Amino acid sequence: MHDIVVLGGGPGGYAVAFRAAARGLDVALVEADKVGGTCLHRGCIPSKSILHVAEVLEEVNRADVLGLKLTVDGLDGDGLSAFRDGVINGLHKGLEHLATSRATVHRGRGRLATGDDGRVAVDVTDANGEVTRVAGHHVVIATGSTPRSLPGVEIDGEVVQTSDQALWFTTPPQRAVIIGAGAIGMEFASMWRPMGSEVTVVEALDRVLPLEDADASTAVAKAYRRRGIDVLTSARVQAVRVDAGTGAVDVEVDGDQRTLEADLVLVAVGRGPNTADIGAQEFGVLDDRGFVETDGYGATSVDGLWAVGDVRPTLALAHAAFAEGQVVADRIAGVDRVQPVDHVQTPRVTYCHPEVASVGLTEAEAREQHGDDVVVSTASMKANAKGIIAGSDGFVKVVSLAGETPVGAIGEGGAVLGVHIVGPHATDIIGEATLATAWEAVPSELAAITHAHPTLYEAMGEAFQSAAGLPFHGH
Amino acid sequence: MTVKDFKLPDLGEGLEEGDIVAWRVAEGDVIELNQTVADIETAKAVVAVPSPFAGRVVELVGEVGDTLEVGSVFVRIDTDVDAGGVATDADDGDAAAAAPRPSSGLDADEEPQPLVGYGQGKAGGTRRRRHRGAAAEQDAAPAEDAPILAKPPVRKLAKDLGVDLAAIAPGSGPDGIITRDDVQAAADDTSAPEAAAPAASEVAAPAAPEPAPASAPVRPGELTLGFRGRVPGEVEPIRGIRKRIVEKMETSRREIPAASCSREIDVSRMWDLAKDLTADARDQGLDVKVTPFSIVMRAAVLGLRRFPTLNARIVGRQGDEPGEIHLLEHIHLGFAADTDHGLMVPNIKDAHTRSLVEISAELADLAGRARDGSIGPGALTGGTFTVNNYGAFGNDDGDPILNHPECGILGIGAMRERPWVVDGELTIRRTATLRLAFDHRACDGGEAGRFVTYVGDLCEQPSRILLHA
Repeated sequence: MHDIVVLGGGPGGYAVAFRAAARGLDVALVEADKVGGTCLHRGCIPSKSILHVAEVLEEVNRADVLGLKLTVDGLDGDGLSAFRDGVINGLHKGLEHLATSRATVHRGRGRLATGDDGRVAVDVTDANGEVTRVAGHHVVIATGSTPRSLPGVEIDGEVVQTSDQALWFTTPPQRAVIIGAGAIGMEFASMWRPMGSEVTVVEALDRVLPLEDADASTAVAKAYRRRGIDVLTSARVQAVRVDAGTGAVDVEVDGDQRTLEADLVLVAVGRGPNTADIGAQEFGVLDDRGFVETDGYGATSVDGLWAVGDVRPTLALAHAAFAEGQVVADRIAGVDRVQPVDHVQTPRVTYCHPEVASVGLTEAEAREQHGDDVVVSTASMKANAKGIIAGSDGFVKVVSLAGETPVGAIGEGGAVLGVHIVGPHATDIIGEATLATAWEAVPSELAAITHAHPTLYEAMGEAFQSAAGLPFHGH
Repeated sequence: MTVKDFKLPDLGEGLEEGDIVAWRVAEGDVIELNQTVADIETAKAVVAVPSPFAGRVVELVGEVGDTLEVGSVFVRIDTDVDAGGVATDADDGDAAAAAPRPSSGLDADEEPQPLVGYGQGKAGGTRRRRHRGAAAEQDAAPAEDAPILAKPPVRKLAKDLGVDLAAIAPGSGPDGIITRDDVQAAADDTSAPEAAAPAASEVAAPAAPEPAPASAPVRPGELTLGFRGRVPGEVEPIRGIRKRIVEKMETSRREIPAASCSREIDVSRMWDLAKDLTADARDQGLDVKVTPFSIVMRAAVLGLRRFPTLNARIVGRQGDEPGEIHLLEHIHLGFAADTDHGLMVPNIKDAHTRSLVEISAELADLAGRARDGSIGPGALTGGTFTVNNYGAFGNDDGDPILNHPECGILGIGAMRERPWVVDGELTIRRTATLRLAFDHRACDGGEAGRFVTYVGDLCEQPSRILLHA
């Protein structure tokens, strides 16, 4: 009998397995497809590969500014695929090796069952239809998520696609309508536009990236419109029709009816838990939307049954799943003083162009919780040397408390509550900000830390200095 | 008014804090030099702490149940008061001179003094939380002025562990900054608020086993207690004496390149001699049992005098400093005592000045006090060499670990009748194996091996001990 049986080999599942192995536990990993999950095979990694190509094209489009005389012969679809697949395969090979050396990997579709001893077990059906019961003292649900659709919209995989299909293009669509301006939709817009597509983004809420700080939404929408991406907000999709290989999306914007024609309609309205066919319903651990209900540590109400990653109604991000997986493994291993994952402190990263990254509270959330006791300090990339070189008009925005210095803090002023970045490499330079918010550091402590020059991240140092009342180049 | 701060003295090597069990004086009392002011409980014992000053008690810092760190102000005494003709603050350093241990020459004003003249008391029942309410904090006067300083990750840790930073300020870092260790220690304190201190009270009534995890309920009727009341599945915190043992062993194995050598010896004569001497002592009205082990200890003392690198200490090895080997003049001879609380190593002070009967008497006394928990920190610290009688468990041989920072430990296995060759004839003799583990940095194999041979010779022919008696 294993110590832990993990159902699902995506980021959440393999994080459980790897941490448990590091803690000396015996782990089985059940995976129906390939270890690595959505992130590696249908999500983060392929999209970032293509986004990198798009980013190179964005630089090429700036060649005249840079004093370069370039001609572009266009996109080689096979080359693009080879690049993307090479990245995936390299990572997959490494991950397979890690998984097989750290866990007993069962290939097949897993389903929760009740073992003879009354504990939760997993029945694995392999490619030949043979069923093997895999038993453990603990079972962790990590089956991830699948793209959601809109009611009445049929995904035909040709004209109307989700990210599962749209990632594999060799020729970018001439005209694309993207339904949903969350991270996925915005990233596809950034992929296709520099490749020559005409892109329209349709968002039901009043701004793009609605989970981000409003200033980030405004900056990104502005950058998109400048690059010729049509952004329709507060726009309700009423129907998606397909006729002779062409799509038509009926949208209501500001009371007006509009029909958008497209060669490709991407439905990017979010992801839902993949729990319908894993036997979880029988254990009574699902909520009415199909998410697994757990406590902060990932434990369900059933003894020995846990869940991590996208099956939980927390942030659907690979690193959120990593963190949840590690907590679950540590809890099972009996580690002292394990802390539940605080998803307010989980960084959010969107790889659109310009990149957006944030951690902690948005300004609006901070004002809702703390009223007028909130200070906002912003440093512009337009005043940052490397930002100027990169042609960025992004920013670093620091949201902090005015009063109430945390007990023990050296300095004055309140803790940093949130940091929001728009600009080149935002998803990398958010790192420092996660320390600031998770540790409830105060701006004067952060301002005392030396930031290298010239760098993009020194804009964050400038913002901290401004928040501490000690503006350097900024104000 | 001249107010002197009496800082909590060193309670014994490595013991950095103690809990206030009882105040023996009140604010306003006029006290004499060396008068007991409080009973302080450490991980090892309850100690009656004497005052290094005479005068009027201005303030008692802390309340019963509080944990005090060594070096923190503990009593404030106005020494301008004439306390019954006792000399006042003439020379604070001399307070220590009244004790059997040599004065360290430290000034009580400057730094913590080694504790001297301690007495024994009853162990306190339960350890109280370190946390106190705001009102109690107000009473602890000096603490309220202390700035509360902690870096962001330490604050996060405190938040996660539910530790109130204000209650543990100032911390142990530079300028009183609160460190991760301070927060962890406070969390340890609060997570086991009712845990009995590992002291005398536990001897009579072993602590009840901790409740087993809910998934594996233990039915009382089926419960079979293991050795010393231990039950499989229990989780025991590492604290108190166990914590000291863990740290000692880790440090020893990490820092000391130890080697060992051994010799089988014929202890028949020593065995008989011990019986004879015990009978003699009884005849003289001395209630002392001279054991073969105490003769081994006496022989070891002679061996250490002949091979001083085994009664040594390596000092000052840090960074690029090569350090020094200090060959110690005194021999505080430790011995391993197996007790219900765990391993203790009391030592016989100045064993080189003691006769065999004195060593025997002190061995019995210290071993008894180690077992009943009444032993004080003084007897447990400062050893220079250790002797280990693991033969008492019936073992033929052992592999002792050096009691850091000592340079040698001599073990002796069971003394049994075994086949033995005498003058080419197989015969039956009572024999045992002597084994020495030594710090190979301070002492070469040639010295260590000769030491074992020499001590073995003395044990085989104990009359030779007389030459140096």
